[in-house]
Amino acid sequence: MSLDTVSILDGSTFVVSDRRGDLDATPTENHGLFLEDTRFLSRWILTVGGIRPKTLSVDEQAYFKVQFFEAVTTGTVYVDSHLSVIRRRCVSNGFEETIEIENHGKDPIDLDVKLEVGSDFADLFEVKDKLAKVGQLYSNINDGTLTLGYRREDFVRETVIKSNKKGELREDGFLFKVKIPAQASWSVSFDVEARGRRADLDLVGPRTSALQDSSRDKSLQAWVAGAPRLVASWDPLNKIYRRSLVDLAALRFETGITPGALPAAGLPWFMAVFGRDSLLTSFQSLAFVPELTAATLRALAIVQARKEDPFRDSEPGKILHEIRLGEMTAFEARPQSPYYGAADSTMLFLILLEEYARWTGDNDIVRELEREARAALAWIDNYGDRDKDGYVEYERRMDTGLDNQCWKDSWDSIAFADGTLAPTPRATCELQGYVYDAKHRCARLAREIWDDPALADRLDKEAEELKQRFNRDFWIPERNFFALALDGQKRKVDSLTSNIGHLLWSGIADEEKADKCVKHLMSDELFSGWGIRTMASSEGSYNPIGYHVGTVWPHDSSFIAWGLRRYGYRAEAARICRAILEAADLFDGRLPEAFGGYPRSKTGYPVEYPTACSPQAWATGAPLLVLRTLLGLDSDGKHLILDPAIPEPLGRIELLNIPGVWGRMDAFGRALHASED
Amino acid sequence: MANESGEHVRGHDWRGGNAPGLAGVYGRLRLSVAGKPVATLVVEGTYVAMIPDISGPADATVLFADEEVMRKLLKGELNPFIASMRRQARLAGDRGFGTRVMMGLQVGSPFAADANKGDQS
Repeated sequence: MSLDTVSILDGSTFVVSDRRGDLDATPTENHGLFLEDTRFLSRWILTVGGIRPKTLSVDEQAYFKVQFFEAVTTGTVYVDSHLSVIRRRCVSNGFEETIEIENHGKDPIDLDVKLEVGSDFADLFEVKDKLAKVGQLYSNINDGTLTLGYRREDFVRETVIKSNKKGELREDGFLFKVKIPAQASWSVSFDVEARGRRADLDLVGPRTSALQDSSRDKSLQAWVAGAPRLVASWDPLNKIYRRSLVDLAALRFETGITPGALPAAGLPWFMAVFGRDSLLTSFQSLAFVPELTAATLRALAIVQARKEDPFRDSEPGKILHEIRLGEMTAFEARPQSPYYGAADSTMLFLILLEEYARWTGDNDIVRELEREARAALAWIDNYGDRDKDGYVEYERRMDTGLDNQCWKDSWDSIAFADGTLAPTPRATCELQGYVYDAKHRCARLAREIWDDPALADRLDKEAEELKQRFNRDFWIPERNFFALALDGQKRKVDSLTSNIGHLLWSGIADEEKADKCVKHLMSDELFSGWGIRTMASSEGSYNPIGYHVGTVWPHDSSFIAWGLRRYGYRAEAARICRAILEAADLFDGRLPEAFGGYPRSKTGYPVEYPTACSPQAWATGAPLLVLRTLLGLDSDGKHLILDPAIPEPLGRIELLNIPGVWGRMDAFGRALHASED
Repeated sequence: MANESGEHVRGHDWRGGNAPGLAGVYGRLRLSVAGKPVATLVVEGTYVAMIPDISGPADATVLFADEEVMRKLLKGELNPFIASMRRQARLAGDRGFGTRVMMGLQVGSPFAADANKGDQS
């Protein structure tokens, strides 16, 4: 998100404004009130006496409420303003806003207070892709209420705006003619209600005041209090940790189809259910807030694909990629109802299920989701491996689908070292690692919980055969790393990328090959000094501000660090962890989705990526997985395992009240001096 | 449950039968058209049937805008997410169960063939 915007959110509802609090959507400014992938307000501009107030400061009190302090000034230097404005806004299925104007002068003042409003009801895809509307916009005024609406056949969305003071109400807004005595104030409150797909059900009962409601404050306090307490001697880490917990709370998303909330992917473009994002974020945060994982697994299980549907890239057993609820999806111009074009989500679902059970001891969920887990395993062999060559590969079935169905899902991410795009179907290397890991993990579940030793033996055997095959077929001996992918002609895609780090997380790499990959990961070509670049600077497609071809993604680096620990590379893992945390500190505790891949030797700070989402779920989860890595936290199904490897500048880390199968336990770690190590 | 083979509801002969997509799903789903309850779908694993009960216990209720929407959803012809986005159908109660049933009927519905038999156009 741009530093010039202020965002507040709650579930799938969010408001993006400028620093005055105004919404003024343009092709380049994505301001608005959004719900269910639709923009319900695109214009909300306050003028006082014909002047747009100037911002003095912005107080972001919580993820769902904000205050703007402003002055009405002509901008003339040395002339004090006698009018100040305080705007208090709180999001809740729309938002509530109170505008208070104070006259600090010695004389009364007459003012026109005007609020200009409007909505384009743009689908988020239209906002991103600058598309035109098909249906009709309308507005009406009734009994002091302004309704802005949009209708296309039976797709109806409305924004209902009420004020608590009588003024002149027009279809483009509200006008109040106000007289404020000397040293006095005047205020007006607005209730903006977004009526989405469940409007008639959600409107049952009176609408409560969001500004007065303290339940979300209490819920946030309980959420933070329920997570382990961190005491770190490197002070920025305390701030980063708290910010991660609060941002995760902000991104919690109630689907309504299962109890609890799962993490939405990120603001502003991805405030929706994304399988991969929810699964990876849940993995990162499992040691801290395991309830997110349970909700994620159950929700994704319910919407697991049941049939073949080329438009949606759906196949039985597959875990979804994305659900959208806007107009373009409703009229099937887009396939996200739901869309299943993710080749990794199904394996990640299985990996998370086993990780969750081992961490929490909750074997009931493994029994509850046995049918879905078996369907997911069947998908890997029956559909994931499209051509029966022993590897999972992907290729969209229709043009509306995603070209790349791995986490690097931009069009140009899978390229040869010379920059040539690899033809589909593409079998990216990390997918094979996930299959290996998922099969071994499910073998344990089959053996210990499903009472199916035959399945367990088969899965273990298949995993080991895959490992042997993979280390033979994907290895590039002349460059000493694993190919990014096998392309549609079974050629090795030979560019050096961060994907090899995921092979360490999954454990598929042979030890001596892993060692060679670690040298690449820590080389100047891949390690920028702030994290691991998505693509090495030596490759033909490298671009330090290319979305998946050179930027650093904090979540990617956090999983690579976790993988390095798995293979025993403690110092290398610690080095990456430290870099990520130092980057987080420079982003004021909140890591963005991605940042530039420029070398640290050139920049004293990580360079922003222009359209990065922030907060973004798996970037928010990155510091949590980093903490787990630094302390070496793991579970053997009964006990908390602790094996710290902390770089010296981070000093001492105490993580208290870690939830798990053991109940609650504390973990301590401190950096060793070189002489102690 | 095996005795409840199907009913004549709202002018249609809804015969129960096999619905492979409902494997592992059990419960009762009330069907309501334009605000009025019209029947209950009884789901027992891969077997599903419609009964005329409108007042007995139900785990969830699906509210259809009209009969055409109900017909299409029960026959598995209309994507339930799209129906929800277009305010053609909504779920109340245990929405997880309701979603499982609506998605499960997409795979193969015993109503797909039978639902047309009683059409009164």
